[in-house]
Amino acid sequence: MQPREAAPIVATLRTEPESFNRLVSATAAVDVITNLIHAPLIKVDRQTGLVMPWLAERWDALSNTSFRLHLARDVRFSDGAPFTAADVAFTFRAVYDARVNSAAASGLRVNGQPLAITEEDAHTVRIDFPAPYGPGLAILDFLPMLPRHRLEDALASGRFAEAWAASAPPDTIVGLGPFIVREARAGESITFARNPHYFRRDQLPREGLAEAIIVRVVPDQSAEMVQLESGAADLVTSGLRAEDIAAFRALEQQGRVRLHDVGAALDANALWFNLKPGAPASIDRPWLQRTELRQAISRAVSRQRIVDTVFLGAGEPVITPVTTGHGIWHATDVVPPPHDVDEAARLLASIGLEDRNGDGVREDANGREARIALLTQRGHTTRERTASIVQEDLRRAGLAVDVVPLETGALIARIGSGDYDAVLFGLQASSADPAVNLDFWLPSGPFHLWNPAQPAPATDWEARLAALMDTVAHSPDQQERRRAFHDVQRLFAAELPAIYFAVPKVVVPTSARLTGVKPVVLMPHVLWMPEALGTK
Amino acid sequence: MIARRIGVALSAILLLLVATGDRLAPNAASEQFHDSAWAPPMPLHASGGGLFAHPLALTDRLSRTFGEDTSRRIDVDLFSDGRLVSTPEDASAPLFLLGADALGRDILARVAGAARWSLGVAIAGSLLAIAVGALLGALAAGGGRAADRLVVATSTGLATLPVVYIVLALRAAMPLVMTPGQVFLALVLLFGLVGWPMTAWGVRGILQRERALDYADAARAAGASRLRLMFVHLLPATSGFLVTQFLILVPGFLISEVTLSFLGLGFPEPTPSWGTMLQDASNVRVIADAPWMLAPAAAIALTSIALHLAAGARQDPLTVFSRAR
Amino acid sequence: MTALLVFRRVAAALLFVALVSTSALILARRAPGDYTDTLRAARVPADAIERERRRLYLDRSLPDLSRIWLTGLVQLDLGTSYRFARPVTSLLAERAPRTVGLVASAIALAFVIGILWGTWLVQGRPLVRMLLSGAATLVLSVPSIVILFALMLLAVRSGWLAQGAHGVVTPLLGVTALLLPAAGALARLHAEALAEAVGAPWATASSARGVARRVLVWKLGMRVAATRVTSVMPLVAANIFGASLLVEVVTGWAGLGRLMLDALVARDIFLVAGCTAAIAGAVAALGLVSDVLVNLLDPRIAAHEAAK
Repeated sequence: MQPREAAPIVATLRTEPESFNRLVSATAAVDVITNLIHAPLIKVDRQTGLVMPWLAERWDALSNTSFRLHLARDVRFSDGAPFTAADVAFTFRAVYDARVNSAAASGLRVNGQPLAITEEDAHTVRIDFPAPYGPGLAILDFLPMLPRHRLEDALASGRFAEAWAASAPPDTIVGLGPFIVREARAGESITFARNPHYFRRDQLPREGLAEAIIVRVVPDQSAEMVQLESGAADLVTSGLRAEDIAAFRALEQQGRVRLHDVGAALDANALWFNLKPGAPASIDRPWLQRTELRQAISRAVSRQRIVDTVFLGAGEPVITPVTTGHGIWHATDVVPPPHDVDEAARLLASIGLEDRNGDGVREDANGREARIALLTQRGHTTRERTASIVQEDLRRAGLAVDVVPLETGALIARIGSGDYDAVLFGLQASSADPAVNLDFWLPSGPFHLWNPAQPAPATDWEARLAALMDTVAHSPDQQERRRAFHDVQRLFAAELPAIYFAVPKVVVPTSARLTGVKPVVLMPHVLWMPEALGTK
Repeated sequence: MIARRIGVALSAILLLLVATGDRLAPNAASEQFHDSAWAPPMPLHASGGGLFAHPLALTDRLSRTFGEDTSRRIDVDLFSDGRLVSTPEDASAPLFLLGADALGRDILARVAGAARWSLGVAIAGSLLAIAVGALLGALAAGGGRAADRLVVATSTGLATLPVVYIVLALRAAMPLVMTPGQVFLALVLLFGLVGWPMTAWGVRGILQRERALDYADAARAAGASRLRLMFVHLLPATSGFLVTQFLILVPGFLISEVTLSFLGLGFPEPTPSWGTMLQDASNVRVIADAPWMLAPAAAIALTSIALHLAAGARQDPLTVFSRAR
Repeated sequence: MTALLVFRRVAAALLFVALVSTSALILARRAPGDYTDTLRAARVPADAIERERRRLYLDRSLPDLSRIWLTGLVQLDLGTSYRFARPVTSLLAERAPRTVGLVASAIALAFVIGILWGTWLVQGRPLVRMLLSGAATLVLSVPSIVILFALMLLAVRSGWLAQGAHGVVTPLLGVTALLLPAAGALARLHAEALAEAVGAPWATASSARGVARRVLVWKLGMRVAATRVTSVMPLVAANIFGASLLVEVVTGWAGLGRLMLDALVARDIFLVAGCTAAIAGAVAALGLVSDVLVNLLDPRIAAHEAAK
């Protein structure tokens, strides 16, 4: 009997992918495309956080730093060419090639050093880490295997980046993923068909599999919601906005959509001050860098009001970036302090900020108004509303806040140049494993927001933080890594280098007819595992 | 004309709003009330000569539904405490006659307070545009052939381009972040820069006609200089036209302000402006669930209608197209 | 209209496009901040940023930049958008038709509706005339964006938007919001011109000869429409086009307005200039078309122009 074919699935994406090559561009849109048309050696199950054999069907740990990977046999690229260890070696060569300047390179270094790849035979490779690495082979999850026979010339001639540009002809894009590119219409949609050579096709259900996925560019979230609601789309870019949840619950009751509660979001918004020693703003306002100021703000701002107003109650208060969505990594004893205006006032007075002239705004010892310019991202409703609430609550506490919304580019430029008092912004989480986010946690990291790229830890507590994170990053003992990371959170909550307020709960909507869905809290919520998608 | 009188009266009220908008509602425009986000407008009840409303109680936060708490009352006073509408100091809950926005702020207070910024900038910009237009029109009519050709050519080029785009391009060329005062000044200057062509054409036409009339000859014979002739004798003849032009330009610039603020290039938060307020309403679901968020759109419509009525039914319908688009 | 005259008009239009787009380019380049700011933030080394700036022509002086732009414009090569990493021409080819579709249908419908409305204003019974006149005043004074919000409220309330018709209904709402103010104004303009024409002595005479008033009004109406009403086409177009910016943003219609906004905010200078060239080109082309139309429809103007 012929298996029944299902109608194409439609997924909307707010931006267009810039490339079909994740090594060249690592935006969220490219990530989605990569999951459709490419495959890594090892995949991390984003529901459990465990590594799954993928193109490498098994491996042996030779030591703390050395692994032998056995590639699956009889695997073919979508053009029919066989996949061998030579392709693995080629992919690693491309990723570390200086001319490619790969977006994936920094994620594939340990302590700044590349991994070493040795082809042992056509189906065996050895991978040597420069140092012990906590997450181990999970690092390979980010690296799609590329066809050497297609891209070798481009790499040699320095045209690697252009070879798989978004405008490349679909039949030149070759991969190991469950889908192939059938048709790309710039600015509109990309149609993907099933890859006839997909190496896991035997593991997939025989019935109801979607033969095609259409990824449609819909720049506006409201338009995405309407398409989902009307059945024109099966999947959308992100979880529901708080204001849409109630309406979609009603639609779920009518059987028109399905909602998946996947827990607290991983990326919380933070307010941080520029703590770089000698930052321009802190010269005549040294109180900007005092820990007491941050502790006062943490108490003066009502986290519950942010949860209630910005997330309509569908959120939870937090104090560190490690939300309950991080599962085992989250330290349950680290909780936000209660909303306490009196304690905030005491803390502010303790660093010399008092209302000396009775106008409702505190002044420092020199009679200067306690005024803070708070940069935030223009057009990002959650951040803008959070900033407004912070502004209002701090006004009541006697601190004047000027909210300055900036375009994303300009905002990042200001953060990079250190030209700011305070910022309200958030970083996108790419994994729950903290070892992946070392650029945030380590004082030497470029995303150590409040004082990035320190040559040596500037404060005692940051030296302690660096030592703890070293254990998290390099210990092979998972229990020890977890304990160290819980200590990191306690340290963070005490020092408050960045003040976290609240995260939304993520509710992922899909159409009611969609099957084979494994929703996760990380983006892309569904398309991280597209192989089994189908329709009823 | 009744319509025109209505228009003039409405316009006068709007002008009053620009001056005293922040004293209309019982709450301050920037004050946020917890548990009041998305609150609907409260109906007013009358009892024994006094007005009152029932406070709203949140019934479901996620779907933003509220119920009237009929066990309690908020007394409403008119024309006391220096405000049009006020509530007693010890009122048990805030009064929202037009509902509350996403942060629990009083929409009535914000719509009224925004008049100062949105309408104020349109009025000031129109005055400047009229002044520039009259000056250039006079220059074209009395300043010789070269000046005339230059003014006509520039204004033709400028008039066919969509003004919103020019203002948008020029505004985007300035620093994106400015204080409300700076934004006000910048927009007035921009409006003055781009809004003059229709006025200049009209003034030029009127002056050319007037110059041919007897009294101009008489003045010339009496030895009036060309400049004096232009400004003392001829320009007053254009005053009726200028008033009409002004009434036509204001709603046009109002839309320009709304467009810029809506796109995030106008007045910054928490300064209330009709355009920034409408940002909240750009979501279809918001329009469905909280139509009171469209209050600023109603204010814009009312202003526009009032000014058009005041401009008079006898205006050339063509002048509609001279508005700043 | 003579060939020479057409040639002069076309030349003037091209000059106009070149002038306006180059001004936009210079303006966008002079604006504070540039595209490589984001690279600096991402800790890209200084020499790489310098290379990038050279590649994007950001190291050139303004006259140099203008020369590059104008040479490209002549060859219809408008450079590459930084933000979208695509040729500007391909972006314009994708977005401009959407805006043209929106605006052109609004203009066409505004004229058809405006002329019918105006004729009825002259023809109808007194009560109908009063109602129509009031309605015209109302719609011509309410801005498109307000009409759009009102229509959206109506659509949401009536459930049109929820039933899978979003892709059809939203553009319809946009077109309606754009055309109503123009239609109201055109109705008034047409009615006034028509009333004047009907009152003219020769019209009274033909009416006395037994030509039915209805026929007369329609005949005159078409003539008035062809001349006085058509001549305001560029103004109507510029008006509707300006209003289309906000309508595009609110309805999520990915057209030229949205593109221009993105380009301006990202300091994507060639895209800004490209969008401006497209807008100016459309405006100039429309002026030409309306001139030709008026000339064809009313030979007297052609004769008058030839005599000049």
